[in-house]
Amino acid sequence: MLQVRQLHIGYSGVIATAESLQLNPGDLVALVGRNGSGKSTLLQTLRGSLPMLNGSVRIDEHEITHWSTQSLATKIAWLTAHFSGVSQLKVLDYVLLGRTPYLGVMGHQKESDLALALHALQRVGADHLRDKQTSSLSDGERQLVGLARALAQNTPYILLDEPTAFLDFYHRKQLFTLLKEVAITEQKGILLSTHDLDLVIGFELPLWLVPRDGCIRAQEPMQKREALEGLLI
Amino acid sequence: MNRTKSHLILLLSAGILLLVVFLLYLKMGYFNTTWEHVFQSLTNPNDEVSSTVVWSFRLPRILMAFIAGAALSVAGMLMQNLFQNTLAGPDVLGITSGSSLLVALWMMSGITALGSTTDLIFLGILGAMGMGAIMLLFALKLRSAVHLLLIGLMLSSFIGAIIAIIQAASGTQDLQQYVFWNFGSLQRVTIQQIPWIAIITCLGVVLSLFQVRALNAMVLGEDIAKSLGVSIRQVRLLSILIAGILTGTITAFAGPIAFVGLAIPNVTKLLMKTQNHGVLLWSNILFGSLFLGVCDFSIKLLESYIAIPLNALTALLGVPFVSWMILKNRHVTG
Repeated sequence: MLQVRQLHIGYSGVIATAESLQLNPGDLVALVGRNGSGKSTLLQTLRGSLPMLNGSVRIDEHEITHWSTQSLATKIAWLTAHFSGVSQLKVLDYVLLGRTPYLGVMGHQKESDLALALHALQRVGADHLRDKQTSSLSDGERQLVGLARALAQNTPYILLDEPTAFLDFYHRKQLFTLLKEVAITEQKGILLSTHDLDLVIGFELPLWLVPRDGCIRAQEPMQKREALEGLLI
Repeated sequence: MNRTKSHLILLLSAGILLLVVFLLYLKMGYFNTTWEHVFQSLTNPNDEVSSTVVWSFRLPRILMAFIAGAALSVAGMLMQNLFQNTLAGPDVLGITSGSSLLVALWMMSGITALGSTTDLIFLGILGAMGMGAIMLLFALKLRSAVHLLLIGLMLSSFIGAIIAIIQAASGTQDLQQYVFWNFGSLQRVTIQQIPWIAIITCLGVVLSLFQVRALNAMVLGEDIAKSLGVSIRQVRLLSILIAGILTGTITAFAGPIAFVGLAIPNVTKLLMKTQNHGVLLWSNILFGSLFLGVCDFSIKLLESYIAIPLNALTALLGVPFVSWMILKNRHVTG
């Protein structure tokens, strides 16, 4: 269980606060809020990349500030919409990089790592892309193999920063469906920030709202777009 | 598995070529030697002229070419990885210019402390280490790798300016001496110094081996590398430290050798078609050695017609080759 208590986040000043939030394995939660409200700041704080100003973030009762970078990487995987591919890096090798936290310093990959990477690619239905160059993928394919990398990382939690940002409607829906499936079948706690209010409502996702007053709170799935918009303004 | 095979074939060919260049280098030259002379000098060096030529002149020079090529290519690979920029090379940290500054000061001041060769080497390493230390401090303070790159390039310009002032104030003979040092040369190294340079280079390679995992993840950018459990601070410190030691040592003994550290890591990536730094490390060592070996071999062959400075030849041979490689791979993006 990922638990947030009395959290104050920001760079030099406080941008937003969260009284009490909780992400459980098996949950797919949408983090919604307007631009600049503090969604990315929250995600960065949760994955230990930005120091929290105050409060606590715990995974299975352990404060994340006490975790080393490497052990935190076995708990939380991270995916952005900004990865644009790397030359001479094939999809399978990219997915294999998800195994990094489990490798020795010399980076030697075992058969089991390869098996996990292949399984992850199959899970997202991107098996056919394994020998393709990451720099030649479409935006939709890129998010799929990115998710495969996160799955290969084998963490109980996955954080995604606007994964649908560059996708068309079809691929957005496909990604949401896949995330929901993965959350349930693989028992992962997945938190994604998004501006896709229609999909959030359509998939009846539980929410973490970042309203303009900066007090982040959990919210039951919403039925009406207008009502949700009203909460964000 | 297919890829592993083609990697092995490429590396094996490079290894065989390396051996060919090595043997030809020892045999050919201004002074005529037979194969018997070569093998006899290698196994049992004596006071005969042929033995002295092979053992004391040709052997250290070709070994230095191999070691310098390998060391600079590895340093270049580390810098391109750290900054995620194919234009980075061993000189972006200002390490080479650190050596140049002290060497320029020493040449123009005319003060000799421990004998000219020892002074040159000592100051070369000291200059490199000084600049390396400054860059390490910046690496700890700065968040962005681009800013670090900018600082490194600016420091190089800053030191370049100081060297220009020193040059303007010095006499013709000192100036000429500095210009020749700046050309880069493998001839100053003695056979007694080779083991030391080799040991330091091996140390750099071993340290690099111990961060292959981190180097591989860094390809995805610092942000994602960190989420994969890589300590960015540690990668930065180690990469700068290793590149500093390698570049500093080579510059101290052979002067600032340009181009190799920029071109070879890029060529290696194009040839090996991988981002696995375990493979790239060994490939850079082999291709770097081979390239500088061939360069120096060409200089030696042309020696009786024209004296070409090492830095001129690396670019003369390298630029057409690298341009051709890039043209051939133009359909691969980035």
